Amino acid sequence: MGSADEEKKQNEKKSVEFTDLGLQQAIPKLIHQSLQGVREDIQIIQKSHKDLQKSNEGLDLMIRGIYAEIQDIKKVTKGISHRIDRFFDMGVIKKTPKPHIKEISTGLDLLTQIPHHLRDTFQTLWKRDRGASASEVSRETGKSRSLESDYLNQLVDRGFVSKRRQGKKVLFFKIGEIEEEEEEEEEEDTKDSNDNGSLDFIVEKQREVNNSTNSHNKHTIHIKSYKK
Amino acid sequence: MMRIIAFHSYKGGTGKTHLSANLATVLARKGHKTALLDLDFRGPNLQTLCGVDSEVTINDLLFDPDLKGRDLLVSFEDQYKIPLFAAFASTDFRKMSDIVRADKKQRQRSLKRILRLRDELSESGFDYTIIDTSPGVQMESIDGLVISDVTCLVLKADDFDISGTKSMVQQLYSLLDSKNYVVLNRVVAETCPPEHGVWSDKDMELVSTFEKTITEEMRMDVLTSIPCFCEVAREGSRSIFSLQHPDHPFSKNIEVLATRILDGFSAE
Repeated sequence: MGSADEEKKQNEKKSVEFTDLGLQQAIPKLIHQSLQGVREDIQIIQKSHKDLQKSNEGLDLMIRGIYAEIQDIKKVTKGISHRIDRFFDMGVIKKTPKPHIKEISTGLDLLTQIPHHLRDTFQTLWKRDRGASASEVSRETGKSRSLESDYLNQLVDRGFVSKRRQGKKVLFFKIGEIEEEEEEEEEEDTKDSNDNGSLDFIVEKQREVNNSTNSHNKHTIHIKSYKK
Repeated sequence: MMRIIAFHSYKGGTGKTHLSANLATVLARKGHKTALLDLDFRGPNLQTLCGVDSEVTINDLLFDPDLKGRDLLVSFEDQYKIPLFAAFASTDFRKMSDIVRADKKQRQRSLKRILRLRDELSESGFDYTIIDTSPGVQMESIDGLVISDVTCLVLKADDFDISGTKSMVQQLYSLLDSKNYVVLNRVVAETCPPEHGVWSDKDMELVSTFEKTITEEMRMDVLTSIPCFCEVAREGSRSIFSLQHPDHPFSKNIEVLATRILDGFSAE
C-alpha cells in the first residue's frame, strides 16, 4: 500500500517537473525516455537473432555431415555390389533360381501389378483350381461374357494368365497351372534350316510328308451342317 | 484314296480362292466328297465367299493339340445338296498375327497338325481336298504345297510378273513331289468375253500361242485358260459363282479344269 502511494507521489512530482520545465523542454525528454526503451528492445532482438544464427549454422553443419556420410555409404555399397557381381561372374557365388510364382504367391502380390479394371477378373480366376471359361467368369463377376473374354485375353497378353482350348471351349488358367505343352510330336528342333536362307527346309518338309504314316489316332469326322 | 489339289500363285489377287472354291463345288456336284481348306492365313477370304462366320478355324487347329478336324469342318450338304465341306482360316487379327509370328517349333507342329487333318479327312472318306494357299513362299503355303498331289499355279493373264513367277517355279516347284500345272485366269482375247464361253478360231489361236509361251517359259503344262467374264467380276467375292450359276460358261470352264485334273489322276 505504501509503495503505491510512493509511485503516485513520484508521478505527481514528475508531472510537476514537466509542468515546471514547460512543454518545449518536456517533449524531447519524454521522447528520449521512450527511445531508451525501444533501444533496449532492439538489443534484445539482435541478441536473439545472433543466437538463432548460431544454432542455424550448427544445423547446417549437421546436415552437411549426414550428406557426406550418405555419400560414403553409397561408395562403399557400390564397391561391395561390384565385388559381388565379380564373384557371380567367377562362379564363387551361385544365383539361386527364382522360386516358382505358384509356390510363393497368394495372388495378392500379383494383384498390385495388375491394372485395376482387370483385378475382379483375375481374382475370380484365381479362386478356381481348374481354370474357367469367359462365360464362367462373367457369371461370377456379373459383367458380360464378351467383356470378360477381352479382359482375360488382356491378362494373357500381360502374362498373368494362360489359356488353352479344350474342344470348342477356351479355358483360362492361373500362371503355372498348365505345364509346358510336351507333345510326343515335338522331337527335334534342328530340321528347320530356313534361317540360313537355303531351301533345304522345303526338301525336309517334303521328306517328312512322304515319311508320314497314318500312325496318328484316327478320327472319323462328324461334321456340323451349316445353315444360314 | 484322297487326292489333294492346291492353288498357288506368285502374287496375290490372281483368283486362287475363287478358283479353288468353284473347283470344289464342281467336284462335289459330280458326287465326290470334297473338302475345301483355306490355308491363306494372311489374306483369308473364303469365309466371305461362302457366307460363313466360322468360330473354330484352321488357325486354332495349328495351335491346339486337342482340336480335331471335325471341330472345324463346316458342311454344306444340307444347304446345297452336294457333299461339300470347308474349313476356314481365321479373320481375327490376333490369330492371323500368331501365324506370322510362329517360331520354328510351332511351324513344325503346324505341318504335323495339317498332316493329321489330311489323315482324318482321308479316313473319313473324302475323295478330294482343295487347298487355297497364300501367295509366294510363305511358310503356310509351303505346308499346303508339300502335302498336295497337284499344284495349280494361277496366273492372271492380264498382269503377272513373269520373271518372279519363273524364279519361284524353278526354285520352289522343283523341290515338290506334286504334279504342277499352270491355270491361266481372266484371259482376254479379241472377243471378250467369248460368245457362249467358246473362243472363236482366231481367239483360240491367240490363246494357244499364249499358252505355248507360258509352257515354254515355266516348263509347266497349262491346264486351261479361263476367260475373263464380266458376270463373274460383278458377282465378286459375295458367293461361289458356279453354285449360283451352274450353267454359266465360267462354270463350264471350271468343269473342264476339273475333268483335266481328274484325267491326270486316272492316267497315273
